[in-house]
Formats: sequence, structure tokens, C-alpha cells
Amino acid sequence: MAVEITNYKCPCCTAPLHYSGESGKLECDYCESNYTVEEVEKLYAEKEAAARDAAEKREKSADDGGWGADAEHMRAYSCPDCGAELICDETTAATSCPYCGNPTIVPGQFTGMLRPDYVIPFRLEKEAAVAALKAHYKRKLLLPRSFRDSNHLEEIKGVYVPFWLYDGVADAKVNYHATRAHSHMEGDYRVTVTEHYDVYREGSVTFERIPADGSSKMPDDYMDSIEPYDYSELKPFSTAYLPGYLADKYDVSAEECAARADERAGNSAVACMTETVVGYHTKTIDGQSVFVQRNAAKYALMPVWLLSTRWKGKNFLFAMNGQTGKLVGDLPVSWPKFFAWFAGVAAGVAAVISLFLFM
Amino acid sequence: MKKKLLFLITQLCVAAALTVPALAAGSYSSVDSETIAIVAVVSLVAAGIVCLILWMQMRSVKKATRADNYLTPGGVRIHRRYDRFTHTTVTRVRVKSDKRN
Repeated sequence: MAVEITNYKCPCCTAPLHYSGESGKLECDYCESNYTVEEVEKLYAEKEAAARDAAEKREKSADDGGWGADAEHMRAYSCPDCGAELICDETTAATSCPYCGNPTIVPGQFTGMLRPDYVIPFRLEKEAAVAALKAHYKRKLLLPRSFRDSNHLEEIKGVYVPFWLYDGVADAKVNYHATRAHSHMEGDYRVTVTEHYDVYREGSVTFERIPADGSSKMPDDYMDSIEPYDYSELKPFSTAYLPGYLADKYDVSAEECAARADERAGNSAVACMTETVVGYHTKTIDGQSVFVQRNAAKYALMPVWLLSTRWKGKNFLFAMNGQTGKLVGDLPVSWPKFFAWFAGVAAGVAAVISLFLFM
Repeated sequence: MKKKLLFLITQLCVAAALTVPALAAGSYSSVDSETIAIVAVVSLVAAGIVCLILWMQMRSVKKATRADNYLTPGGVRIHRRYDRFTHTTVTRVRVKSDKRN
């Protein structure tokens, strides 16, 4: 069941190489050599092909080794450095050896249909993620003091998350009921004349690369919240960007994720039509129909820092865009602080109004 | 102990929010109970809005519903549009004259 895995080794000293977001190169921590992605790709092209063949052969002849039904979702790998056998989930494509710490890539996970079209490399390092989390705690008046003071990060991991990118055109047909009103006085009466209009807009809106994560392990709302990525840094996929980070392959297909992208495209198309309805005091949608035409989805890996912590027995997850540094994560609320603020503001406002009214 | 103290302070502040206008109005016989109630309601609503804003600051994760960031430049095209007048409605409201003035 075990298959070979690859780690990029420094051609000078054979120590493991890892991708550095800051320099955009693969670096060696020991001899401080660094190599461009192209140089490493060239060096390892043949080695990877041989490893992939070996992996396929071994997989074909492997039995489940007593894991029963779980074996379908598990994979075992041998660390090329220390020989330890690593067992992980079938969607894991890059990881690190828990024994020797070597960053490793699983060959065969990114081949054929599974091979991503693009990758956005990590630009921000772990220290930036920790600093962003500290900044996230600042100016949060309802944050419990004990959460801020005694809170320790349990885990920080840089993960390349699989995303589907959808191009397409949304055709929208929208009917509105719009009104314009004018008032004037007639004796003791205020007379309001309201003009009613039947408004119609039909148009198309073109979208490029709407992202939807293709990993069932990643919460969709977190992945939505750390958008957008800067697509000008999209690069053709290469496994040379992966050492030093975890990477997952998709386990939710492009067809299954498409509904999320379609819904977003449809809502934006209707909003674009609504923006053209101007010169009215009110406008309400009477009816709408949206049809989204999609081109073939592209598969990309996006950099995400995941930070998790525990407080009072509850898990708190934070996600940071590994390219832009946008960090999100819900924080606990101190209810005593909440009610103290409520009472303080209520008393203050009442006092100020009373001063103006009665003094 | 600390929680109890905070709870007590909270209760005192809410009581103050409700009694300050009443006490202030005490020396002015012309101030009616309706005004006191309005002051109390306004202050509680203001406190509610402030606390809602503070609470929303603690929430940063939400599902995306729009794709505005992914619109292509010049990608919005209107193929057909019309604005048709249908009818007019007229409403008349008697305006109270302020006799106190």
C-alpha cells in the first residue's frame, strides 16, 4: 500500500528545499542555496516521472493491509529521507514527515485530470499569519480578556486549497415596479401624486474566474470570506511551489461546485441591471429570470494559512489569504461586557437627552 | 464575584437610563409621561444599535452571495430596456395645525 513520495533536495547539500513566498524561490535552510522554480522543475522532471510510475505499480499490486473499508480513503507513503511510513487521507497531495520534518509531495496526486491548471504561490509566511491574528484581536471591545491573554495557538498550517475557477456569462431579465412621487399643499391637505412605472431591463454580464473551493474539508464561508485573490499572480501549476506547505487535491467536483458560482453570478447580474434603473424614488423587483452559461472550469491551488485555537473547550478557526493577508474568523463575545456597554450607552444617551430637554 | 459586580453595575446603569429623564422631568410639571417614555426608548434603541455594531465586529466569516470582484471590464451589456408609465395615484393627508403656536 505504501508508495514513494518526493521531496526536493538541495543539489549542493541534499537537505530539503522549501518554497519561500518572500523570495519566490526554493531555499535550503542549511547551505542557504536558492533555486528558481524552473531550475528545480528541470532537475526533477525525470525523477518525478519515475516515482509516479513506481507509485502506480505499487498501488495496483497493493492490498488493504487490514484497514478494511477505511483503506479506501487512506493512503500510505514512505518518507524518502527517514523511511517512516506516513498514513494520510487520500486527498492529501503535499505534507511533511512528522518524524524528520521533510516537506514532501505525493507523486500521482496531481496528474491527468487531477493536475491543477494554476497555482498562486504563498507570498506571506507563518509570522505574518500570527501577526495578522494579533491585529484581528485589536479594537474588539467585546472580546473576553481571558481569550486575548490566555489564548495560545494550537496549530498553524499553510495549505494550498483546491479551487475551481469559473468563466461565464449571466443573462438576466428583470421587471421592476418603480415610482416617482411629488407632494404639494392644498389648504390643510398635503397632496402626494405618485407616478407608477413598469420598468424592464434585459442584459448580459461577463464574469472571469469566480472561485469556489473544491475541498469538503474547508468551510465554504471561510474560503469565501478571504477572497479576493490577485489573479495577476496566477502561475502555471508546478509542484515546485508546494514544498513546505500542505496541499489538498479536490474532492468536490467542478459540477458540484458550479451551483455556488452560478448563484453569485446571477445575483451580481441582477444587481448590475438594477444599477441602470435610475431617477425613481422607489424600485422593487417584480420578477426576474437569470441564465448562466459557463465555460469549462479551471482548477487552481490557492494559498491559505489556517490557524486554530481552543478556548473554554471550544475550537476557534481563523483563515488567512496567503497572498493578500486578509484574515477572517469569528471571535467569542463577552456577555458581561456586552450588557455593560448596553447599559452604559443607554444611561449616557438618556442623560444627554434629558439635559437638552429639561434643563 | 466579578461577574456579579458587572451584573450589578449593568442593572444600575439601566435603572439610571430609565430614571434620569423621570428625575429631570420631576421639577417640570409640563413634561408628560409620553416624553419620558420617548427618551427611555430612544436611549435603549441607541444602546441596542451601538451593541449590535460591536457584536458585528466580532463576526467576519460569511458566505459570499455576489461575484462583483469577478466582473470583466466592460462586461455589462444591456440588450433591451424600457420605462413605461402605467398610472398615477393621489393621496391626501390632512395636516394638523399646531394651535399651541
